[in-house]
Amino acid sequence: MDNRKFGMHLLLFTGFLGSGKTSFIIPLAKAVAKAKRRAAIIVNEIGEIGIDNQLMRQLDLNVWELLNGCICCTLSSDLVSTIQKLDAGYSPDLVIVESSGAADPNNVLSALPYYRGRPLQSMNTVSILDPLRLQMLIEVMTPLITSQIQHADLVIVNKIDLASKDEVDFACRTVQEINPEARVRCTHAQQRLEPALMSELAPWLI
Amino acid sequence: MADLILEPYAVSQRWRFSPKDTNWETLIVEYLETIARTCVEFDRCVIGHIKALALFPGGDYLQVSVINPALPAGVKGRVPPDCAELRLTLNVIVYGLERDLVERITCEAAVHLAYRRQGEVITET
Repeated sequence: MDNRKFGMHLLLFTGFLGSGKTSFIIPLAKAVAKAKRRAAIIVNEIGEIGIDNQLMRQLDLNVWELLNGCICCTLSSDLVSTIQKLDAGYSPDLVIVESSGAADPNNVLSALPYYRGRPLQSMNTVSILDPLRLQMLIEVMTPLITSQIQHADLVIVNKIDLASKDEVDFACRTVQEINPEARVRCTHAQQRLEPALMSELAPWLI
Repeated sequence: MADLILEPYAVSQRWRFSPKDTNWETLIVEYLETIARTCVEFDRCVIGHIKALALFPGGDYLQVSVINPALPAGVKGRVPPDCAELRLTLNVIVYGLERDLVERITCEAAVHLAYRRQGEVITET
């Protein structure tokens, strides 16, 4: 199929460090590949030596890495140029951007209008929340966690197999207070990517 | 949050332990949990994540992640049988601690682990 005839979909994954972003991205990228469509993953890790990129390569996924900085500040122009290179050289149906857990999505979203390539057919922001640590994080890192919720189209409350009912309820209430427009789904990444969640992440694939 | 520093630390290591007495998963979890416990002993430390990827000869991998020493570590992947060595990439992303301190904590935890379990941990980068 000539992908260049069609636009490209972009999914920006945000969420604090350790919330489980990679655990959703890997099965999503595999599902896209299984449907004979092209997914490219841009991984931003703030460490000098990435781990998620190595793991994704190990699993034969198409990965481009932005290391040793954050795409919400020092690497924001690198993100835009990487998406443009991907569009020109690989023509993916879906670009998944995994931002570092320390990234403020507001700054990332501000950089994306500088992208010049095939038009984006859709652009959605997914925020992954860890209910086990949300209460603590929202106290000590209020602006970052608030922004990660505020800019999400879809919030996934992850790890519900480990969290108490109170912790999950607190997470859902917090999202409702900060971003009442966001869709909220509660799940855990240890199970298969449910069809309902899959259709939220990539409705064009169904 | 404004005054909580974030100085990520990453390192590549080569581990050699006797395959006869070694449960690699236990060993890596123990290493990461020791680092996490030591970090949270310092005031104002917030763990982002402490994550390791072990690559075994032959293509198997084990990924271990700790975000709180009081919670079970997350483990993915599989360990091949009779394996004597692995390459490990470690990321320690903690707020509130300087990089030099994190490096020292990580290094001391590796030295103690190697001594206790009679193996070798060589830092490559």
